[in-house]
Amino acid sequence: MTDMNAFERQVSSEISGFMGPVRPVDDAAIFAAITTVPSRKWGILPRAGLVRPFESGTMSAAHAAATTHEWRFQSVFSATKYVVAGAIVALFGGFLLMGLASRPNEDMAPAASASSAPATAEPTATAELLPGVDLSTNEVTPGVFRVLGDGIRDLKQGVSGVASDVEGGVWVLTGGAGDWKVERLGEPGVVVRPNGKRVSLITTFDETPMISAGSRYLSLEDGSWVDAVAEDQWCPENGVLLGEVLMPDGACWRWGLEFRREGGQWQPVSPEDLGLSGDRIVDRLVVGPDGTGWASVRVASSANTADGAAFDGLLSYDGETWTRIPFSLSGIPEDAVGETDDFVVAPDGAIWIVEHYLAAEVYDKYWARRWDGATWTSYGPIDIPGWQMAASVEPDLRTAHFNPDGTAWFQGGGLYFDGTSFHTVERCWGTSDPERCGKFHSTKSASIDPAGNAWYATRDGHLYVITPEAVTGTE
Amino acid sequence: MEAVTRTAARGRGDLLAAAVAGDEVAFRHLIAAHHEDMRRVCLAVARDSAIADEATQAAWLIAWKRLGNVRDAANLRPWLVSVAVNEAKRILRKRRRRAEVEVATDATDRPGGIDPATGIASVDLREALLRLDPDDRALIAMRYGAGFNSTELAIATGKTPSAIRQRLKRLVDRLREDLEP
Repeated sequence: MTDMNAFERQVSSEISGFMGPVRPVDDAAIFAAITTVPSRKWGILPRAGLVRPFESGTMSAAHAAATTHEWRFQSVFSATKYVVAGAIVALFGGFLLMGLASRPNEDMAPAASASSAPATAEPTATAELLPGVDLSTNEVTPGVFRVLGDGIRDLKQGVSGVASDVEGGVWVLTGGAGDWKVERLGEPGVVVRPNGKRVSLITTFDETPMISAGSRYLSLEDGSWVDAVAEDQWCPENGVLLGEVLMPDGACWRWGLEFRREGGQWQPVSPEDLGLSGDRIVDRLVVGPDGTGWASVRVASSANTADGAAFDGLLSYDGETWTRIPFSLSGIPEDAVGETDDFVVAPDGAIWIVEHYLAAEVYDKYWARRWDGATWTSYGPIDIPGWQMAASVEPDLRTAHFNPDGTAWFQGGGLYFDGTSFHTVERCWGTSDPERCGKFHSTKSASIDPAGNAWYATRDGHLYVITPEAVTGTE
Repeated sequence: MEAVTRTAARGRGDLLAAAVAGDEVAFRHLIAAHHEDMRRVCLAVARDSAIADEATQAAWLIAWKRLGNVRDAANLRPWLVSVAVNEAKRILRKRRRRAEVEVATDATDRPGGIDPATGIASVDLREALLRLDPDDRALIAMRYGAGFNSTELAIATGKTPSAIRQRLKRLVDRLREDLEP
């Protein structure tokens, strides 16, 4: 330090100014705080942060610095709660069933009768739905909660989007007319106003919410909204977003119109390049945990070749070779436009596709297909009237969710798989009119959190949480 | 002089060993000796006293659990500061993703005159330091604020001493080139 030149001495002076004066240290208080971490019933010391008692992540730094200097611990060991929540989900999912089970290739029965549960019940605090957040809810039917507030803001109406993040946090979109707010429940002060275009909350990556605004896709970085997809080199490495996926050849692929990007330029890919005939299209792409790429194949619609018609199996891709896995469809007109709700790889490596068709004779009916590496299993048709998901338009990873016990949610929580058969969720909340079941609360946005709860923003601006208990009906 | 240094090192080593063994007095000595180095470097990194406090406190909890990983007492200070800096960066990332952080900047509250020895205005240098990314600002703070030598910087950053000297030189040169009239 003594051999510094004049500039280094100036740097030293200025950086020391940033660091401020040396303060007295109360080593006894710090030590006491470290050694009085609350014990946990599972007997492990959680990774924890020792923080001052200000509201998490929301108060301004200046305000926080002015608060009383006391010591306490705040757990940031989020993974633990997922494990616990997963265990709860598994506990319920295995044996509590409701509605109309569909064995492979068996029809599902109609939805259950309307619930008489009043929507005006007294609000209850249901902190277990979102740990650490003081949610106020009405349980509109067993296992289904309408969210009224989060202890900070009123959420009785005006919620137009919802997305969970990997930490278990839930983001909501409210507002409109150029004054949109994307906020994390339980955290005041997280307000972002991407003015101008109509905004949709799409999904989250890690802890970052992603929105669409007009033709732009934006993510929240360092407190500002930045273009997420316009960057030439951007591509999600651990999932699928907005139709783009990093495939095992190291290139970014975009499904639908079939493009492959190298060096910042999108290159068209023809069906023939993938070993398909010209009347087939790649519908969706996904990469499994073992690094294998998967493509779902559809017959090209005779009305519009950009649309897919009948499901026609899979392609697997090891980075060099595409391998065809055919599928024989039955019971659906070949030229019916088909839409995919979920195309995902389960933790056990099985490929799942949940789809529906727009032909009149099969309208509002859904099918699930599973490829286990050797054989196909089909479930359906599954009848879930009114369950039209706007969220399914956007390729969101979290419309499917696999629980450790083999149970799963699909279609944004519209379908529950108990490991053997499919079940639906009773949908007659807040209305006694069976004709309006489902449609009354048609989904505008949906997301499944890591604990296995399905979150819904409905077209009437309400926010609901559907827990696995809802598909059970009884305990 | 050498004997004194060895004695001091042995003293630090004994203190570390005792703290690892769970000795409260020894651990409190470590807190008293290093807390301010950790907090002040975090303050330079985050420019937010609440984050600096939170990061330092989180770092002590980590130290309480992992102090046994530090084999050499000479490594303790850079290890503790690096843990605290990592916590500060983590908190900073999290806060920035979730909210606009109000930075309690005092840079403009201090004199901003031109240093006659360099011809560089202090206010310009402060702004240049604020523009550095947190890793670079941590390096500057450890070297020029906390007085780390290149060996300690190497331990704190996981680089070799020569590599960290080169990085620091390039960083300072770049700062000066940006600021010189």
